[in-house]
Amino acid sequence: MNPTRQPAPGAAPAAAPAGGSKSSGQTPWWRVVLVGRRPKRTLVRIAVLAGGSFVVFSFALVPFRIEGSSMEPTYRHGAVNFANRLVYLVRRPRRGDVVAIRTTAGPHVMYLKRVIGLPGERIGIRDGTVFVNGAPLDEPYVQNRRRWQRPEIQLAADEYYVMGDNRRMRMEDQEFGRCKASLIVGKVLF
Amino acid sequence: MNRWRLIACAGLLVALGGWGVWKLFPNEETVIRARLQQLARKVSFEPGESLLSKTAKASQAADLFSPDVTVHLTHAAREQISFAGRADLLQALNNAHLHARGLQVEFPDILVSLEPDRRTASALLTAKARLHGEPELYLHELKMVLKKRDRQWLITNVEDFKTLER
Repeated sequence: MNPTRQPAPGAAPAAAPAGGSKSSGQTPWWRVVLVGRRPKRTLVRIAVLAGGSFVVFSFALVPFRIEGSSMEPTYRHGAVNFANRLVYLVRRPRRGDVVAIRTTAGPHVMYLKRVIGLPGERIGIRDGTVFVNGAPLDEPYVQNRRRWQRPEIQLAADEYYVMGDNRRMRMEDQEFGRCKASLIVGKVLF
Repeated sequence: MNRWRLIACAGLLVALGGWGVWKLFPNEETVIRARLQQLARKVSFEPGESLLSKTAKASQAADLFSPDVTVHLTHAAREQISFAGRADLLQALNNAHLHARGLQVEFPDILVSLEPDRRTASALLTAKARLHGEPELYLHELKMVLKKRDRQWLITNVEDFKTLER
């Protein structure tokens, strides 16, 4: 006959089996992982992080994905980048800046182009070479250009001339030209 | 119920009421936007979609245009494409459905402006189109004129425009 072990009267109850939901007097580990030791603080942190992300990615760094090949080889199709909206609060776009330009209808689709001409300048294209105020523009970012032709135009005081880096394309296949300063969303971050 | 709960409930009720009114009696701009989004859905079709479904969609898309609609578009290679009348447009839609394997059209941006008479409106929109199996995205900026006829907004004119002017 096997004697059964009975707890002595007044003895502490046995510990929970291994893998149980909590160790004595402590928060369960899964709760610590999910909401931390202080759930209220975690909630505040999440709210601050979400609000901060919303503000940053709506008003400062607008994320976008590049579609198309008009900025190759500098920017490839499918790459993700950001438009820095703050930079043009302190200065105007400069020649050579790669900028995101919103369409007239709204901000959800943007063109990615390089600033070629500044307000008031005369821009023309002869045999693939861009001329600014009659002088050829040095464009080290362009490889293998086609012999594009565009008559010279004069930019207004609030206009920039923008083009893609890919000049191997047919001219008809690329969107480029004058754009209003107000449509420039920001400078590409990297 | 304490005072703050009462205020919160009243605020919630007001918000729900406002949302209900907005849903039940949308303003003209919302109606036009919804109609143009409907156009994008009707023009799009999946690769395996049946001919019957595609024909029905093309017909429903054509119904969003007025019988005397005029369409002037510039093709990617700068060729002009024009349609005059709903029948002409319907034929073009059916042809596109026959020849393309699949097409997804979206209007991510729609800017609507109503004329003072509130029976004429113009909409600037950005159209994104992707043919099935092609990585290239086609982007088109369109200007549409809509007129209210028999309590329905019908597209009477379509032409393209460019944000970047050459």
